[in-house]
Amino acid sequence: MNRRENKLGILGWLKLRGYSIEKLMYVAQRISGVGIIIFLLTHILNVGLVYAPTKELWEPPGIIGKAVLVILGIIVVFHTFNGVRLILAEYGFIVGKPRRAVYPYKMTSLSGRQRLAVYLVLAVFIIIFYFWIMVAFNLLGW
Amino acid sequence: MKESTKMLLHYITGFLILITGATHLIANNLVGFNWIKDTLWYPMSQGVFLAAVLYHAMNGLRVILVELFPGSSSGKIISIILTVVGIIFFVFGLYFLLVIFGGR
Amino acid sequence: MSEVRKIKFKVFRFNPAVDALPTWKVYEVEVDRGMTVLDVLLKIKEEKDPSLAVRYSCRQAVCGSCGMMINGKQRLACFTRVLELNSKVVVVEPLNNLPITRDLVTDFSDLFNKEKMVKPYIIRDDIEEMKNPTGMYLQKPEELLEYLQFADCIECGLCSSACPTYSTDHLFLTPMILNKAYRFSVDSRDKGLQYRLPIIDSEHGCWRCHFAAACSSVCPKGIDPAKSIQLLKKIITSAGIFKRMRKKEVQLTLRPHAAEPPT
Repeated sequence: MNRRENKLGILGWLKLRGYSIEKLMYVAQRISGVGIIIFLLTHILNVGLVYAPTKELWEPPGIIGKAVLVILGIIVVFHTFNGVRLILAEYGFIVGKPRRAVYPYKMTSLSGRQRLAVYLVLAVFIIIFYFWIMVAFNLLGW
Repeated sequence: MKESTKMLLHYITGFLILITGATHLIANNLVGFNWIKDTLWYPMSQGVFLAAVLYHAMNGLRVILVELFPGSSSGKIISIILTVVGIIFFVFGLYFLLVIFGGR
Repeated sequence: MSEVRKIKFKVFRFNPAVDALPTWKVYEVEVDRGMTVLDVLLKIKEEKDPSLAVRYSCRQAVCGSCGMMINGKQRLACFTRVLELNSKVVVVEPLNNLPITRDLVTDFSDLFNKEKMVKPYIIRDDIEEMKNPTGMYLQKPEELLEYLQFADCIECGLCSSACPTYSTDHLFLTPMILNKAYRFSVDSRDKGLQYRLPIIDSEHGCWRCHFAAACSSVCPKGIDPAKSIQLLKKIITSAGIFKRMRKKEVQLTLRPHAAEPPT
Protein backbone atom coordinates (compact mmCIF):
# COMPACT_ATOMS: atom_id res chain seq x y z
CA MET A 1 0.00 0.00 0.00
CA ASN A 2 1.38 3.33 -1.02
CA ARG A 3 1.97 5.18 2.20
CA ARG A 4 1.33 8.51 0.53
CA GLU A 5 -2.09 7.32 -0.63
CA ASN A 6 -3.05 6.68 2.97
CA LYS A 7 -6.07 4.48 2.32
CA LEU A 8 -7.05 2.26 5.22
CA GLY A 9 -8.53 -0.32 2.87
CA ILE A 10 -10.60 -3.07 4.36
CA LEU A 11 -9.07 -2.35 7.79
CA GLY A 12 -11.17 0.81 7.72
CA TRP A 13 -14.20 -1.40 8.31
CA LEU A 14 -12.68 -2.54 11.61
CA LYS A 15 -12.26 0.97 12.98
CA LEU A 16 -15.18 1.03 15.36
CA ARG A 17 -13.95 2.89 18.43
CA GLY A 18 -15.48 6.36 18.72
CA TYR A 19 -18.17 5.81 16.10
CA SER A 20 -21.85 4.97 16.52
CA ILE A 21 -23.39 1.52 16.87
CA GLU A 22 -24.67 1.77 13.29
CA LYS A 23 -21.12 1.27 12.01
CA LEU A 24 -20.86 -1.99 13.94
CA MET A 25 -24.21 -3.13 12.54
CA TYR A 26 -22.96 -2.32 9.01
CA VAL A 27 -19.86 -4.50 9.43
CA ALA A 28 -21.94 -7.30 10.97
CA GLN A 29 -24.43 -7.10 8.09
CA ARG A 30 -21.62 -7.52 5.55
CA ILE A 31 -19.92 -10.39 7.33
CA SER A 32 -23.20 -12.23 7.98
CA GLY A 33 -24.18 -11.71 4.34
CA VAL A 34 -21.00 -13.35 3.07
CA GLY A 35 -21.43 -16.19 5.59
CA ILE A 36 -24.98 -16.79 4.40
CA ILE A 37 -23.83 -16.90 0.77
CA ILE A 38 -21.31 -19.61 1.62
CA PHE A 39 -24.01 -21.64 3.36
CA LEU A 40 -26.53 -20.96 0.58
CA LEU A 41 -24.40 -22.21 -2.27
CA THR A 42 -23.29 -25.34 -0.43
CA HIS A 43 -26.88 -25.96 0.72
CA ILE A 44 -28.32 -25.81 -2.81
CA LEU A 45 -25.68 -28.21 -4.08
CA ASN A 46 -25.98 -30.47 -1.04
CA VAL A 47 -29.74 -30.88 -1.06
CA GLY A 48 -29.98 -30.91 -4.82
CA LEU A 49 -27.41 -33.59 -5.52
CA VAL A 50 -29.50 -36.19 -3.71
CA TYR A 51 -33.09 -35.97 -4.73
CA ALA A 52 -34.84 -37.10 -1.56
CA PRO A 53 -33.95 -34.58 1.12
CA THR A 54 -33.64 -35.81 4.66
CA LYS A 55 -32.44 -33.92 7.66
CA GLU A 56 -28.95 -35.43 7.50
CA LEU A 57 -28.34 -33.55 4.26
CA TRP A 58 -28.34 -30.02 5.53
CA GLU A 59 -27.14 -30.88 8.97
CA PRO A 60 -23.82 -32.72 9.11
CA PRO A 61 -23.90 -35.24 11.91
CA GLY A 62 -22.73 -34.69 15.45
CA ILE A 63 -21.26 -31.66 17.08
CA ILE A 64 -20.27 -29.98 13.82
CA GLY A 65 -23.85 -30.05 12.67
CA LYS A 66 -25.04 -28.39 15.83
CA ALA A 67 -22.29 -25.77 15.65
CA VAL A 68 -23.21 -24.98 12.04
CA LEU A 69 -26.85 -24.58 13.06
CA VAL A 70 -25.99 -22.19 15.88
CA ILE A 71 -23.72 -20.01 13.75
CA LEU A 72 -26.25 -20.07 10.91
CA GLY A 73 -28.93 -18.98 13.36
CA ILE A 74 -26.91 -16.00 14.53
CA ILE A 75 -26.07 -14.74 11.04
CA VAL A 76 -29.44 -15.38 9.41
CA VAL A 77 -31.57 -13.87 12.16
CA PHE A 78 -29.31 -10.82 12.51
CA HIS A 79 -29.03 -10.19 8.78
CA THR A 80 -32.79 -10.47 8.28
CA PHE A 81 -33.93 -8.06 10.96
CA ASN A 82 -31.09 -5.58 10.47
CA GLY A 83 -32.00 -5.72 6.78
CA VAL A 84 -35.55 -4.65 7.55
CA ARG A 85 -34.17 -1.69 9.54
CA LEU A 86 -31.87 -0.80 6.64
CA ILE A 87 -34.72 -0.83 4.11
CA LEU A 88 -36.63 1.63 6.31
CA ALA A 89 -33.57 3.83 6.85
CA GLU A 90 -32.20 3.83 3.30
CA TYR A 91 -35.40 5.20 1.82
CA GLY A 92 -35.38 7.96 4.40
CA PHE A 93 -38.40 6.87 6.43
CA ILE A 94 -36.91 6.80 9.92
CA VAL A 95 -33.90 9.11 9.64
CA GLY A 96 -35.77 12.18 10.85
CA LYS A 97 -36.60 15.54 9.31
CA PRO A 98 -34.03 18.18 8.36
CA ARG A 99 -33.72 20.70 11.17
CA ARG A 100 -31.63 23.80 11.78
CA ALA A 101 -28.07 22.93 12.81
CA VAL A 102 -27.88 24.72 16.16
CA TYR A 103 -25.26 23.83 18.77
CA PRO A 104 -25.40 21.37 20.59
CA TYR A 105 -26.08 19.46 17.41
CA LYS A 106 -28.51 16.55 17.38
CA MET A 107 -28.02 14.06 14.58
CA THR A 108 -31.55 12.79 13.98
CA SER A 109 -30.26 9.87 11.93
CA LEU A 110 -28.40 8.63 15.02
CA SER A 111 -31.23 9.20 17.48
CA GLY A 112 -35.00 9.10 17.59
CA ARG A 113 -36.81 6.54 15.49
CA GLN A 114 -33.68 5.10 13.87
CA ARG A 115 -31.92 4.41 17.18
CA LEU A 116 -35.13 2.87 18.48
CA ALA A 117 -35.11 0.63 15.41
CA VAL A 118 -31.57 -0.47 16.32
CA TYR A 119 -32.67 -1.50 19.79
CA LEU A 120 -35.75 -3.23 18.37
CA VAL A 121 -33.55 -5.20 15.98
CA LEU A 122 -31.38 -6.38 18.88
CA ALA A 123 -34.43 -7.31 20.97
CA VAL A 124 -36.15 -9.18 18.15
CA PHE A 125 -32.84 -10.90 17.38
CA ILE A 126 -32.67 -12.29 20.91
CA ILE A 127 -36.26 -13.51 20.83
CA ILE A 128 -36.14 -15.17 17.41
CA PHE A 129 -32.68 -16.63 18.03
CA TYR A 130 -34.02 -18.20 21.21
CA PHE A 131 -36.71 -19.98 19.19
CA TRP A 132 -34.14 -20.99 16.59
CA ILE A 133 -31.99 -22.67 19.25
CA MET A 134 -35.00 -24.38 20.78
CA VAL A 135 -35.96 -25.88 17.44
CA ALA A 136 -32.36 -26.76 16.53
CA PHE A 137 -31.90 -28.79 19.69
CA ASN A 138 -35.37 -30.35 19.45
CA LEU A 139 -36.54 -28.72 22.66
CA LEU A 140 -39.78 -27.45 21.15
CA GLY A 141 -42.68 -29.83 20.71
CA TRP A 142 -44.03 -28.08 17.62
CA MET B 1 -30.34 -1.28 -15.47
CA LYS B 2 -29.86 1.78 -13.35
CA GLU B 3 -28.16 1.37 -10.02
CA SER B 4 -31.29 2.58 -8.21
CA THR B 5 -33.39 -0.15 -9.86
CA LYS B 6 -30.84 -2.80 -8.91
CA MET B 7 -30.96 -1.67 -5.28
CA LEU B 8 -34.76 -1.40 -5.26
CA LEU B 9 -34.87 -5.02 -6.43
CA HIS B 10 -32.33 -5.87 -3.74
CA TYR B 11 -34.69 -4.55 -1.08
CA ILE B 12 -37.80 -6.11 -2.65
CA THR B 13 -36.13 -9.53 -2.85
CA GLY B 14 -34.95 -9.07 0.72
CA PHE B 15 -38.53 -8.68 1.81
CA LEU B 16 -39.65 -11.65 -0.32
CA ILE B 17 -36.94 -13.76 1.28
CA LEU B 18 -38.27 -12.85 4.68
CA ILE B 19 -41.68 -14.27 3.81
CA THR B 20 -40.81 -17.26 1.64
CA GLY B 21 -37.76 -18.12 3.73
CA ALA B 22 -39.78 -18.19 6.92
CA THR B 23 -42.21 -20.55 5.19
CA HIS B 24 -39.27 -22.72 4.11
CA LEU B 25 -37.84 -22.94 7.62
CA ILE B 26 -41.15 -23.53 9.35
CA ALA B 27 -42.40 -26.14 6.88
CA ASN B 28 -39.16 -28.09 6.99
CA ASN B 29 -38.21 -27.94 10.67
CA LEU B 30 -41.38 -27.74 12.76
CA VAL B 31 -43.07 -31.14 12.70
CA GLY B 32 -46.47 -29.65 13.43
CA PHE B 33 -46.27 -27.57 10.23
CA ASN B 34 -44.98 -30.25 7.88
CA TRP B 35 -48.35 -30.26 6.12
CA ILE B 36 -47.38 -26.99 4.43
CA LYS B 37 -45.05 -28.93 2.16
CA ASP B 38 -48.01 -30.78 0.68
CA THR B 39 -50.03 -27.70 -0.29
CA LEU B 40 -50.33 -26.52 -3.87
CA TRP B 41 -48.64 -23.15 -3.58
CA TYR B 42 -45.61 -24.32 -1.58
CA PRO B 43 -43.50 -25.33 -4.63
CA MET B 44 -44.31 -22.00 -6.29
CA SER B 45 -43.30 -20.08 -3.18
CA GLN B 46 -40.06 -22.04 -3.11
CA GLY B 47 -39.41 -21.11 -6.73
CA VAL B 48 -39.86 -17.46 -5.78
CA PHE B 49 -37.61 -18.04 -2.76
CA LEU B 50 -34.87 -19.50 -4.97
CA ALA B 51 -34.97 -16.64 -7.46
CA ALA B 52 -35.16 -13.96 -4.77
CA VAL B 53 -32.36 -15.34 -2.63
CA LEU B 54 -30.04 -15.83 -5.60
CA TYR B 55 -30.62 -12.28 -6.87
CA HIS B 56 -30.15 -10.81 -3.40
CA ALA B 57 -27.01 -12.83 -2.75
CA MET B 58 -25.38 -12.15 -6.11
CA ASN B 59 -26.21 -8.44 -6.01
CA GLY B 60 -24.92 -8.24 -2.45
CA LEU B 61 -21.65 -9.89 -3.47
CA ARG B 62 -21.42 -7.57 -6.48
CA VAL B 63 -21.76 -4.51 -4.21
CA ILE B 64 -19.05 -5.75 -1.85
CA LEU B 65 -16.67 -6.67 -4.69
CA VAL B 66 -17.22 -3.42 -6.58
CA GLU B 67 -16.32 -1.51 -3.42
CA LEU B 68 -13.22 -3.59 -2.75
CA PHE B 69 -11.98 -3.54 -6.35
CA PRO B 70 -13.15 -0.28 -7.90
CA GLY B 71 -12.43 0.48 -11.55
CA SER B 72 -14.42 1.10 -14.72
CA SER B 73 -13.76 -2.35 -16.20
CA SER B 74 -13.82 -4.37 -12.97
CA GLY B 75 -17.45 -3.43 -12.35
CA LYS B 76 -18.54 -5.00 -15.65
CA ILE B 77 -16.44 -8.13 -15.17
CA ILE B 78 -17.76 -8.69 -11.66
CA SER B 79 -21.38 -8.23 -12.79
CA ILE B 80 -21.01 -10.70 -15.64
CA ILE B 81 -19.33 -13.39 -13.55
CA LEU B 82 -21.89 -13.10 -10.75
CA THR B 83 -24.85 -13.11 -13.16
CA VAL B 84 -23.55 -16.31 -14.72
CA VAL B 85 -23.03 -17.94 -11.32
CA GLY B 86 -26.52 -16.88 -10.26
CA ILE B 87 -28.14 -18.28 -13.37
CA ILE B 88 -26.28 -21.58 -13.04
CA PHE B 89 -27.42 -22.05 -9.48
CA PHE B 90 -30.96 -21.00 -10.35
CA VAL B 91 -31.22 -23.52 -13.16
CA PHE B 92 -29.81 -26.20 -10.94
CA GLY B 93 -32.13 -25.37 -8.06
CA LEU B 94 -35.15 -25.13 -10.35
CA TYR B 95 -34.39 -28.54 -11.80
CA PHE B 96 -34.21 -29.98 -8.32
CA LEU B 97 -37.51 -28.32 -7.36
CA LEU B 98 -39.21 -29.78 -10.42
CA VAL B 99 -37.90 -33.24 -9.64
CA ILE B 100 -38.95 -33.17 -6.03
CA PHE B 101 -42.34 -31.53 -6.55
CA GLY B 102 -42.90 -32.71 -10.10
CA GLY B 103 -45.67 -35.07 -9.07
CA ARG B 104 -48.07 -32.17 -8.60
CA MET C 1 -5.61 27.76 40.54
CA SER C 2 -4.74 27.14 36.92
CA GLU C 3 -5.00 23.64 35.60
CA VAL C 4 -1.66 23.33 33.84
CA ARG C 5 -0.64 19.82 32.88
CA LYS C 6 2.22 18.33 30.91
CA ILE C 7 0.78 16.32 28.05
CA LYS C 8 2.78 14.24 25.55
CA PHE C 9 1.91 14.82 21.91
CA LYS C 10 2.76 11.99 19.55
CA VAL C 11 2.76 13.67 16.13
CA PHE C 12 2.94 11.91 12.76
CA ARG C 13 5.81 13.19 10.62
CA PHE C 14 6.19 12.26 6.98
CA ASN C 15 7.61 14.08 4.00
CA PRO C 16 6.86 11.93 0.92
CA ALA C 17 9.41 13.85 -1.15
CA VAL C 18 12.23 12.93 1.21
CA ASP C 19 11.29 10.13 3.61
CA ALA C 20 10.66 6.52 2.74
CA LEU C 21 8.68 5.79 5.89
CA PRO C 22 6.75 7.97 8.32
CA THR C 23 8.04 8.64 11.83
CA TRP C 24 6.50 9.75 15.10
CA LYS C 25 7.90 12.67 17.08
CA VAL C 26 6.95 13.14 20.71
CA TYR C 27 6.68 16.64 22.14
CA GLU C 28 5.92 17.34 25.78
CA VAL C 29 3.88 20.52 26.12
CA GLU C 30 2.41 22.32 29.11
CA VAL C 31 -1.27 22.61 28.44
CA ASP C 32 -3.61 25.02 30.15
CA ARG C 33 -7.38 24.72 30.45
CA GLY C 34 -9.07 25.77 27.21
CA MET C 35 -6.06 25.20 24.98
CA THR C 36 -7.02 23.50 21.76
CA VAL C 37 -4.95 20.97 19.85
CA LEU C 38 -4.33 23.64 17.23
CA ASP C 39 -2.94 26.00 19.91
CA VAL C 40 -0.55 23.24 20.97
CA LEU C 41 0.55 22.46 17.40
CA LEU C 42 1.28 26.13 16.76
CA LYS C 43 3.14 26.33 20.05
CA ILE C 44 5.23 23.35 18.94
CA LYS C 45 5.92 25.12 15.65
CA GLU C 46 6.94 28.27 17.49
CA GLU C 47 9.10 26.84 20.25
CA LYS C 48 10.25 23.36 19.39
CA ASP C 49 10.00 22.34 15.76
CA PRO C 50 9.24 24.86 13.00
CA SER C 51 9.28 22.16 10.35
CA LEU C 52 5.88 20.75 11.36
CA ALA C 53 3.35 21.24 8.55
CA VAL C 54 -0.16 22.10 9.71
CA ARG C 55 -3.11 23.45 7.75
CA TYR C 56 -5.24 25.97 9.63
CA SER C 57 -7.00 29.26 9.08
CA CYS C 58 -9.91 30.57 11.13
CA ARG C 59 -9.17 28.69 14.39
CA GLN C 60 -12.88 28.89 15.20
CA ALA C 61 -14.39 25.87 13.37
CA VAL C 62 -15.85 27.69 10.35
CA CYS C 63 -13.23 27.24 7.63
CA GLY C 64 -12.78 23.46 7.74
CA SER C 65 -9.01 23.52 7.25
CA CYS C 66 -7.63 21.82 10.37
CA GLY C 67 -9.22 18.37 10.17
CA MET C 68 -6.99 15.60 11.54
CA MET C 69 -7.07 12.35 13.52
CA ILE C 70 -6.81 13.13 17.22
CA ASN C 71 -6.63 10.07 19.45
CA GLY C 72 -7.98 7.89 16.69
CA LYS C 73 -11.05 9.93 15.73
CA GLN C 74 -11.58 12.58 13.06
CA ARG C 75 -11.78 15.99 14.72
CA LEU C 76 -11.11 19.66 13.98
CA ALA C 77 -7.89 20.65 15.77
CA CYS C 78 -9.22 24.11 16.62
CA PHE C 79 -12.41 22.66 18.07
CA THR C 80 -10.84 20.04 20.33
CA ARG C 81 -9.74 21.04 23.82
CA VAL C 82 -6.73 19.01 24.94
CA LEU C 83 -7.74 18.59 28.57
CA GLU C 84 -11.22 17.41 27.53
CA LEU C 85 -9.59 14.44 25.80
CA ASN C 86 -8.68 13.20 29.29
CA SER C 87 -5.52 11.49 28.19
CA LYS C 88 -1.82 11.79 29.08
CA VAL C 89 -0.78 11.06 25.50
CA VAL C 90 -2.46 12.67 22.52
CA VAL C 91 -1.82 11.01 19.15
CA VAL C 92 -2.12 13.40 16.20
CA GLU C 93 -2.18 12.03 12.64
CA PRO C 94 -3.37 13.29 9.26
CA LEU C 95 -6.88 12.38 8.15
CA ASN C 96 -7.42 8.74 7.15
CA ASN C 97 -8.15 7.79 3.56
CA LEU C 98 -6.84 11.04 2.06
CA PRO C 99 -3.44 11.29 0.38
CA ILE C 100 -0.79 12.83 2.63
CA THR C 101 0.90 15.94 1.29
CA ARG C 102 3.17 16.36 4.27
CA ASP C 103 2.99 15.70 8.03
CA LEU C 104 -0.58 16.59 9.01
CA VAL C 105 -1.65 18.10 5.67
CA THR C 106 -3.80 15.98 3.35
CA ASP C 107 -4.70 16.37 -0.30
CA PHE C 108 -8.33 17.35 -0.97
CA SER C 109 -8.13 17.49 -4.77
CA ASP C 110 -10.02 14.20 -5.22
CA LEU C 111 -12.93 15.58 -3.19
CA PHE C 112 -12.96 18.88 -5.07
CA ASN C 113 -12.90 17.13 -8.46
CA LYS C 114 -15.91 15.07 -7.45
CA GLU C 115 -17.64 18.21 -6.26
CA LYS C 116 -17.33 19.74 -9.73
CA MET C 117 -18.79 16.59 -11.30
CA VAL C 118 -21.94 16.87 -9.22
CA LYS C 119 -22.78 20.45 -10.38
CA PRO C 120 -23.01 22.20 -7.00
CA TYR C 121 -25.02 25.22 -8.16
CA ILE C 122 -28.66 26.09 -8.85
CA ILE C 123 -29.69 24.99 -12.35
CA ARG C 124 -32.69 26.70 -13.89
CA ASP C 125 -34.25 27.11 -17.31
CA ASP C 126 -35.66 30.65 -17.26
CA ILE C 127 -32.63 32.17 -18.98
CA GLU C 128 -34.26 35.49 -19.73
CA GLU C 129 -35.12 36.06 -16.09
CA MET C 130 -31.65 35.07 -14.99
CA LYS C 131 -29.98 37.44 -17.45
CA ASN C 132 -32.27 40.37 -16.75
CA PRO C 133 -33.69 39.75 -13.28
CA THR C 134 -36.97 41.44 -12.46
CA GLY C 135 -37.25 40.16 -8.89
CA MET C 136 -36.17 37.57 -6.32
CA TYR C 137 -36.83 33.84 -6.40
CA LEU C 138 -39.17 33.42 -3.47
CA GLN C 139 -38.92 30.53 -1.06
CA LYS C 140 -41.23 29.59 1.77
CA PRO C 141 -39.76 28.89 5.24
CA GLU C 142 -40.68 25.19 4.93
CA GLU C 143 -38.84 24.99 1.61
CA LEU C 144 -35.81 26.63 3.21
CA LEU C 145 -35.79 24.20 6.10
CA GLU C 146 -35.60 21.26 3.70
CA TYR C 147 -32.02 22.04 2.80
CA LEU C 148 -30.74 24.61 5.31
CA GLN C 149 -29.11 22.05 7.60
CA PHE C 150 -27.14 20.60 4.71
CA ALA C 151 -26.03 24.01 3.45
CA ASP C 152 -24.03 24.66 6.63
CA CYS C 153 -21.26 22.30 5.47
CA ILE C 154 -17.76 23.75 5.90
CA GLU C 155 -16.21 21.03 3.70
CA CYS C 156 -13.73 19.93 6.33
CA GLY C 157 -13.64 16.37 4.96
CA LEU C 158 -13.99 14.61 8.31
CA CYS C 159 -17.05 12.71 7.06
CA SER C 160 -15.29 11.40 3.97
CA SER C 161 -12.31 10.33 6.04
CA ALA C 162 -14.55 8.38 8.42
CA CYS C 163 -16.62 6.68 5.71
CA PRO C 164 -15.90 2.90 5.57
CA THR C 165 -16.84 2.81 1.88
CA TYR C 166 -14.32 5.52 0.99
CA SER C 167 -11.59 3.55 2.76
CA THR C 168 -11.76 0.83 0.10
CA ASP C 169 -13.41 2.55 -2.86
CA HIS C 170 -11.53 5.60 -4.12
CA LEU C 171 -14.22 6.25 -6.77
CA PHE C 172 -16.99 6.67 -4.20
CA LEU C 173 -18.67 10.07 -4.19
CA THR C 174 -18.00 10.87 -0.58
CA PRO C 175 -20.60 11.91 2.03
CA MET C 176 -19.41 15.51 1.68
CA ILE C 177 -20.22 15.57 -2.05
CA LEU C 178 -23.46 13.60 -1.82
CA ASN C 179 -24.63 16.02 0.86
CA LYS C 180 -23.92 18.88 -1.50
CA ALA C 181 -25.78 17.14 -4.34
CA TYR C 182 -28.82 16.72 -2.12
CA ARG C 183 -28.65 20.32 -0.88
CA PHE C 184 -28.97 21.57 -4.42
CA SER C 185 -31.34 18.93 -5.74
CA VAL C 186 -33.96 19.49 -3.04
CA ASP C 187 -33.71 23.28 -3.16
CA SER C 188 -37.06 24.50 -4.48
CA ARG C 189 -35.30 26.97 -6.78
CA ASP C 190 -33.35 24.20 -8.53
CA LYS C 191 -34.56 22.21 -11.54
CA GLY C 192 -31.37 20.32 -12.24
CA LEU C 193 -31.69 16.92 -10.51
CA GLN C 194 -31.87 15.15 -13.89
CA TYR C 195 -28.39 16.47 -14.73
CA ARG C 196 -26.90 15.23 -11.51
CA LEU C 197 -28.54 11.81 -11.81
CA PRO C 198 -25.97 10.12 -14.06
CA ILE C 199 -23.23 10.71 -11.51
CA ILE C 200 -25.30 10.15 -8.36
CA ASP C 201 -27.15 7.07 -9.62
CA SER C 202 -23.96 5.39 -10.78
CA GLU C 203 -22.02 2.37 -9.59
CA HIS C 204 -20.02 4.50 -7.14
CA GLY C 205 -22.72 7.02 -6.33
CA CYS C 206 -25.10 7.28 -3.42
CA TRP C 207 -25.99 3.57 -3.49
CA ARG C 208 -22.55 2.60 -2.19
CA CYS C 209 -23.61 4.15 1.11
CA HIS C 210 -24.90 1.51 3.52
CA PHE C 211 -25.80 3.73 6.43
CA ALA C 212 -22.82 3.03 8.65
CA ALA C 213 -23.38 6.67 9.76
CA ALA C 214 -19.71 7.20 10.65
CA CYS C 215 -19.96 10.49 8.76
CA SER C 216 -22.69 11.83 11.03
CA SER C 217 -20.90 10.73 14.17
CA VAL C 218 -17.83 12.86 13.32
CA CYS C 219 -19.42 15.91 11.66
CA PRO C 220 -18.40 19.00 13.69
CA LYS C 221 -21.19 21.24 12.36
CA GLY C 222 -24.27 19.07 12.87
CA ILE C 223 -24.88 18.51 9.14
CA ASP C 224 -25.93 14.85 9.46
CA PRO C 225 -24.70 13.75 6.01
CA ALA C 226 -26.01 10.23 6.63
CA LYS C 227 -29.50 11.67 6.72
CA SER C 228 -29.05 13.71 3.54
CA ILE C 229 -27.73 10.68 1.64
CA GLN C 230 -30.70 8.52 2.65
CA LEU C 231 -33.09 11.33 1.68
CA LEU C 232 -31.21 11.60 -1.63
CA LYS C 233 -31.83 7.91 -2.25
CA LYS C 234 -35.50 8.54 -1.61
CA ILE C 235 -35.81 11.25 -4.23
CA ILE C 236 -33.91 9.45 -6.94
CA THR C 237 -35.75 6.14 -6.92
CA SER C 238 -38.49 5.87 -9.50
CA ALA C 239 -41.26 7.80 -7.82
CA GLY C 240 -38.94 10.69 -7.12
CA ILE C 241 -37.81 10.77 -10.70
CA PHE C 242 -41.30 11.15 -12.15
CA LYS C 243 -42.05 14.04 -9.85
CA ARG C 244 -38.78 15.85 -10.40
CA MET C 245 -37.95 15.26 -14.03
CA ARG C 246 -39.75 17.97 -15.88
CA LYS C 247 -39.14 17.74 -19.61
CA LYS C 248 -37.91 21.26 -20.08
CA GLU C 249 -34.96 22.37 -22.10
CA VAL C 250 -32.24 23.49 -19.75
CA GLN C 251 -28.81 24.54 -20.98
CA LEU C 252 -26.10 22.54 -19.32
CA THR C 253 -23.70 25.42 -18.90
CA LEU C 254 -26.26 27.30 -16.92
CA ARG C 255 -24.92 29.65 -14.31
CA PRO C 256 -26.67 32.89 -13.45
CA HIS C 257 -24.85 35.49 -15.48
CA ALA C 258 -23.50 38.44 -13.58
CA ALA C 259 -25.59 41.53 -14.26
CA GLU C 260 -24.10 43.69 -17.00
CA PRO C 261 -22.59 46.84 -15.52
CA PRO C 262 -24.68 49.89 -16.39
CA THR C 263 -23.24 51.84 -19.28
